[in-house]
Amino acid sequence: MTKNSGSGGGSVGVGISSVLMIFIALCLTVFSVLSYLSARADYKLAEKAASATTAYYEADSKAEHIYAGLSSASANELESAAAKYGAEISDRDGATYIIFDVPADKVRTLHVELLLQSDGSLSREVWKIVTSGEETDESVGVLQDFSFLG
Amino acid sequence: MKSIRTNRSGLFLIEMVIVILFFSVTAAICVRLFAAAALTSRSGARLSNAVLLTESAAETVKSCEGDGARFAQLLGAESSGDGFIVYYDKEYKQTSSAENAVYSLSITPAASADGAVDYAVRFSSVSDDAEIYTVSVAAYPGKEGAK
Repeated sequence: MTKNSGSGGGSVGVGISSVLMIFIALCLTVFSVLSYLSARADYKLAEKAASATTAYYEADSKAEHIYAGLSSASANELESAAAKYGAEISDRDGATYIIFDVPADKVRTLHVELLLQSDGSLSREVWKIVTSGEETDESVGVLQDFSFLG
Repeated sequence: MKSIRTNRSGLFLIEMVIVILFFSVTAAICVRLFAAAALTSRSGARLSNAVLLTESAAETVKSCEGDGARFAQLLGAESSGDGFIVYYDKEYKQTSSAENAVYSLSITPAASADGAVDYAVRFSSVSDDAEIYTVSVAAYPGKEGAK
């Protein structure tokens, strides 16, 4: 346990090796925890990307169905069809646009503008995701789940 | 002199037992943590790749405006039931044979009344058919195409 100070001459006691062993074991533990946290953070990020992609395609599908619904309406029914889908008709630069927004998640909205052609058909003019200025949650919550330790 | 030596041996033995116990406990925790890290890392990589490949297929479907033959050609997909299927190996590289496949990407259409066609794009593992990622994408071919 202690340094051997006998006359036999200055051999190092077992205490040092034990301390070293404990230090190595602690280092191993720290590295393994860090490696787990890093992997967990990567997984959370992948999950976030997946849910953002899902949210985008849900909004995109809704917008496609609205576009299909508006396209199938005749010129006389267009106003009522626009009202049904919560779209607004706007005249700009001598052209008629049908504008609507589909929310994708808390901060992102799919903004769509359809141009009414002279033959009564609709064409896509704007089809883009607009992000609101609100702050997004950047945390990945790496310390939330340690249930694997039982 | 003899009693001092015996005492020292006893202390050494006790110390060794304590150290070995401590090391065993720490090693068990470390092994468990490293195993969990490896599994989580693998799941994360699998999900990332699944999202990427599903998104790519969804965009191809949209760009072809629901023309099944066209997007099947672009994706190199095989016809399967009422939809299409693409196989991937463990490296996420497209493979033509189902035997070497580890993952599959299926595209199944479901017609709707308004002319837009919904496609379920599903990435799953071949062995147990477990779903890894699924997205629903709608394609509208326009007034002329819908007729």
